[in-house]
Amino acid sequence: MAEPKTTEYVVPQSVGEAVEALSESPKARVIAGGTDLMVGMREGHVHPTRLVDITRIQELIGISTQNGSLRIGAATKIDEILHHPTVRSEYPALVDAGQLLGGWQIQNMATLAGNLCNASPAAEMSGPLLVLDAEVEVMGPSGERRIPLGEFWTGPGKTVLEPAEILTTIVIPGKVSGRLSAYQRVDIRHSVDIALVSSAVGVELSEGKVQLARIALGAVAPTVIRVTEAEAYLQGRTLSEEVLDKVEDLAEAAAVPITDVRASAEYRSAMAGVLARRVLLLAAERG
Amino acid sequence: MLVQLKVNGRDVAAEITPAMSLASCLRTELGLTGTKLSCEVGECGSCTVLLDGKPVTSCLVPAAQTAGRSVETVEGLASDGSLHPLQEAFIKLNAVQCGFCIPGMIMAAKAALEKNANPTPEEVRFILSGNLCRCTGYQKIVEAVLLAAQEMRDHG
Ligand SMILES: Cc1cc2nc3c(=O)[nH]c(=O)nc-3n(C[C@H](O)[C@H](O)[C@H](O)COP(=O)(O)OP(=O)(O)OC[C@H]3O[C@@H](n4cnc5c(N)ncnc54)[C@H](O)[C@@H]3O)c2cc1C
Ligand code: FES
Ligand code: FES
Repeated sequence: MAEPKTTEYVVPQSVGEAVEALSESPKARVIAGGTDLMVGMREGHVHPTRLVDITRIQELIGISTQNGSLRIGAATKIDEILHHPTVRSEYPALVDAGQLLGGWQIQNMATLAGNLCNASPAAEMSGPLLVLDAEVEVMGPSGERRIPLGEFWTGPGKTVLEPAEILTTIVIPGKVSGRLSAYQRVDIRHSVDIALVSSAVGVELSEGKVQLARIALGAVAPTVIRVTEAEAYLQGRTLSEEVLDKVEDLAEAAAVPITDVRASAEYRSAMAGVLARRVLLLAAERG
Repeated sequence: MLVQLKVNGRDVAAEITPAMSLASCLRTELGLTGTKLSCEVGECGSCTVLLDGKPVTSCLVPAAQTAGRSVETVEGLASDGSLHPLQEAFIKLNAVQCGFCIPGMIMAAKAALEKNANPTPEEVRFILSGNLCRCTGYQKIVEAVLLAAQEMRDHG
């Protein structure tokens, strides 16, 4: 049987209109930058009959600060995030990750929410936002809800979003200071590659002692994960060799990766430990 | 459906299907075949055009998303019969072999030089890291972009 054709392209001007356009048609799909969706359609993985373009909805575009929290509109482009002064000074992990997300062309097209909604366990922006305790605001037919990012993904390509729900805003509440945050990935080549393993870290230090730590790993489990064992262990400790060794072990143990053509599970686990240690130090040195 | 946009400074209208890419629209509907299509999944950069001044891989941009916006392709570079300094430099340094990647390279380079008129070789490599070339080994391409940058600074 031939796949259903995409027969409609609608361009709502408000979130309400977009939710309506999604509710009306069960095979409707949000399109933002299209850098995942256009590929998915070309490769035959997804067959939306109606595309709902959210990139003209002004309330979904841009970055603002509000009572110490940072709000990033769903359809904000990665390139815009990379150049935002507050992001650059307060949330360096987001800059690290955004620079690795595709090449310049992709950064000009890709949106932040698209990266999160695509729900790849290797998605670049997921780890940094997770260590910043980010939350997402979602709008659907039955109203608005706010979801901690840690509860947003349920598996590769899967989120808790209902079919007609739209992610509208990514909120960084400011409970975790992002100043000492960093992100790195292990990859084969820049621009057209995805992470074999990635790690994001946020720490708060006082006189050399860890007050709070957040460690995330990407591409080593069905979703991006936090290494809560290492976070708890770090509490009150200084970053000595011995402590870093232990963090490395805990991160390696938390990883449950798969083997594929790009790397073996053993390699990914080992690199998860190495990266967590390296990125923790990198974050701490930003002080 | 009909989409109206600006291409190389001219208002145009094209009849498109809802999921059609900007690259296909340019090539098949508007006859602008200078923009090349290869991988069609965003990885090679040969379809790079400027959308509102920024480089994008046009194989992934829904044509419908360009309504009312401004697109620049390699066909828009030469003016009054004279080539753009980037085109001149690529020819002068023989930075072209089969030529397939060159329109995309030149469009990405053009946007890069508008942001930074005096890039280092490293910066040029970084900016072109989303554009693949299977022939030249890149060295001459980087040299050509640097030469063009100098020409544009000297005679800008
Ligand atoms: C060449 C290339 C290189 C890439 N490199 C990287 C990389 O290094 N790292 C990386 O992480 N990713 C990479 N990607 C993947 C992709 O660019 C990113 O995931 C990007 O952020 C997706 O955003 P988008 O706006 O293009 O999403 P789209 O393709 O428009 O949408 C992606 C998915 O999310 C849904 N969606 C989008 N926005 C919303 C919303 N607001 N509410 C509900 N659902 C929504 C769509 O329906 C779709 O299912 C690459 C892609 C390409 C083509
Ligand atoms: S054809 Fe568009 S990036 Fe390869
Ligand atoms: S000159 Fe042939 S691909 Fe670049």
